Amino acid sequence: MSDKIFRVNMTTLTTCVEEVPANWAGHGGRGLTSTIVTAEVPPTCHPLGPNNKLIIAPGLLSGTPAANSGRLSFGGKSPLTGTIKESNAGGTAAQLMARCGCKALILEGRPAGNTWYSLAVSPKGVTINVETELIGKGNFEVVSTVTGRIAKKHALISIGQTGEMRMAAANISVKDSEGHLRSAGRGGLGAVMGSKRVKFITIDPQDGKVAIADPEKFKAANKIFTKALTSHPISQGLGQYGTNVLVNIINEAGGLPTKNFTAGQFAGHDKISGETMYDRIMERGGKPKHGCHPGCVIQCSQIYNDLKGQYKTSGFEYESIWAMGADCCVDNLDHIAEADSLMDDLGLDSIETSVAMGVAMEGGLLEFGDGEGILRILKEEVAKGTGLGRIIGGGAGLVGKTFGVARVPVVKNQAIPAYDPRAIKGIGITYATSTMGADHTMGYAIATNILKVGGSVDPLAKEGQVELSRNLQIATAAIDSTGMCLFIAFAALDDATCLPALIDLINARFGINLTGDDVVNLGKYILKTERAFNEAAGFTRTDDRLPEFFEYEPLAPHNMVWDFTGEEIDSFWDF
Amino acid sequence: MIEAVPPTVEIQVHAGCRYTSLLQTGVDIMTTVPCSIGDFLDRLPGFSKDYIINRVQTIFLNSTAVDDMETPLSGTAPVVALSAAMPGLAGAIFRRNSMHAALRSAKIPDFAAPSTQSRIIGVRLKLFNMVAAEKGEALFAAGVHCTGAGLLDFIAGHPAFLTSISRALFSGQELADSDLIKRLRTTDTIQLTIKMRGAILPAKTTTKEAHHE
Repeated sequence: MSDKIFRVNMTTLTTCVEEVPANWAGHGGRGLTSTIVTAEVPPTCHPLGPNNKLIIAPGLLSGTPAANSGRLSFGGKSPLTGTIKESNAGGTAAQLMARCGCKALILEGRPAGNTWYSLAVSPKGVTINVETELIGKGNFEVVSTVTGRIAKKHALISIGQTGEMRMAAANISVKDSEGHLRSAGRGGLGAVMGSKRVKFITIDPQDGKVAIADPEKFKAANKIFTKALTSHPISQGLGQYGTNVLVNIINEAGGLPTKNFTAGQFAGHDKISGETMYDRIMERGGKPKHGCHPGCVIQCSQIYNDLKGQYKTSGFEYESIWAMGADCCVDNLDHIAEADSLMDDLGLDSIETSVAMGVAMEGGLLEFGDGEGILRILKEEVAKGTGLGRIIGGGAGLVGKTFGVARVPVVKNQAIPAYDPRAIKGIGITYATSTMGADHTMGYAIATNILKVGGSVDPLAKEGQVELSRNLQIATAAIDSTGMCLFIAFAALDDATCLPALIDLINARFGINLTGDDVVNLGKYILKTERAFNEAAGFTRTDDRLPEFFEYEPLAPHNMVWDFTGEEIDSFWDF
Repeated sequence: MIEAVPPTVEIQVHAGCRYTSLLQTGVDIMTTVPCSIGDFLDRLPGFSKDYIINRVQTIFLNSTAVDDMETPLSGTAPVVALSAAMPGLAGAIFRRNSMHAALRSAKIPDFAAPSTQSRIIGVRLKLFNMVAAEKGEALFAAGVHCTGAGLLDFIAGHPAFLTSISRALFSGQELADSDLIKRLRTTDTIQLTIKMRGAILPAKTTTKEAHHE
């Protein structure tokens, strides 16, 4: 089955299936969403208007048996940042969409009137259906109801009430193989989907399969690739403690943003750590090890049960636990799990919303540490779309303005995640220069020595930190195009066989001969494409800056401040 | 501050009891300085050079990542934290001798030159994740110093630990769990030993479980 572009016009309520333009053919995932957004979305358009588009694209390896290849990219102009945006999630949709022969699904236009719709994707194309029953409902009810409607195996993409209300922190959820949710969290693309009045999308691949040009070569490469992932020591730790294993490490380093970024260590770190979470999961009959998509061999997700041993949440990630935990000074893991579950149901980015809560706490809305107060606001304000709820759901920047708070940890209006840039300055460079606002995953992957990106790095010089951040962002952009989970970076970091095996997988899938240089060039192309969109949207170098308070508020315990000059940050783009 | 002769607390727990996460907040290990981090770790019960090199991928001394195992323990009460290889860019940044060390804040650690005079100090040792799981049992079997409040805090968050205790001695005197709790409340530093029984024993009484819930 050859790949096609599936296009849905929500203004005319029509759909079509198109050939893939030649200059899109080599792209997948983030590379494709950013290419299409740049080609078809006017940079100055309103993110919730008819001219913005929501692009959904599987990765280059999605739908194949390649390990850890189940990430699905969502792209558009962000209502939160006003920049280009790509956010990706696990679940089953990437693989089934690829099996439909759908290289990208483009949602454009905006319907007149108040009718809501659902979309059904199959290898034949897309069908638009009127939806009434599930409007106003949370993601959990969407999953259970749609699963009841469709007997056969399907994938499901949906938004919660906050997406319907077009809150800037609204995410897009993807059903996983156990009927739980994975989220494309950042940047408010759930609001874009809501602006198109699409509540959910089902995907039925029927008998569709992804063609592999050289199956034997693919199989051999996948064997090497899988071995590199499973034998890596980090995979063992992730399988036991999840990403939340980082709480103790980052706290020890003094880089765990605490009490709305006023300290770098949280006294209650041991109450919310991965180690404590593991003990609790085992005591309550949960699962410490769990994949977010079929074919995942790292299994960093988990099933967290409540006091009664009933399912509470899964995919309970470090960044979410940090944000609701240390940043809001909540040291009750059950409150954090409850909040995580509520945000999943409402369809909210758990980083943006929790950081917004921290800012609101500084503004006097609640006392720091008031976990029950947070739960009440999520249930009674955000879920119901009250004025306060919409402010919280509008993200940390809006909350800061509303409550008159100067310490607002955002870049390009997106909340800074779980690593304080004063304590880990190299990550601060990534927050500042990312094309999508503060995002820890933008500069995440792959050792420079393997990709041979850039030259030597002086660890004591700012130039070295800028250069390394640049190289990491280039590599990450390329990985985001494959549909691979970023955690493959661990193995690629240390195992010389891993990255060549990944390139071999792509070559075997398409019958091509990519090299490491091609991968680097792909990453550079993506970054430059995204930056060009942002510049056309009105962003300048002065937007690549961290909030001012990082420069004059030293962070305990190391008492470091952010001291990169604008010129030093701007040198990031010298490539 | 560690008392000269702290009271001993010896706890025997049933097989399968999870208690090594107690190490994430730290215990005190008495050691003779001057001493390098490498030598300090090498002396720890259950640790070997091979384990330290291959498994302990991240080391913090007084909250600063350390690459050189010859770095001397510094300060009057050094804090050493150990972790296995950690995920994400942040995990890579703090890993020993990582090429991503360039992304740490470029502050050169101010490890004061240690005194050449030999003396015994308490080193606050924190073990995280796999390192705690793999070496915690040996460490607790050999005995560590910690505070009564620290142990009580752990028990409060891990009720299953208390129900797994098969025998508890405080300064050599066998105590019921409730009495152990009372004594811990009024004791600053203790010398704690935890040992695992070989067999899985029946669950303890409902009364005791309820008490600790």
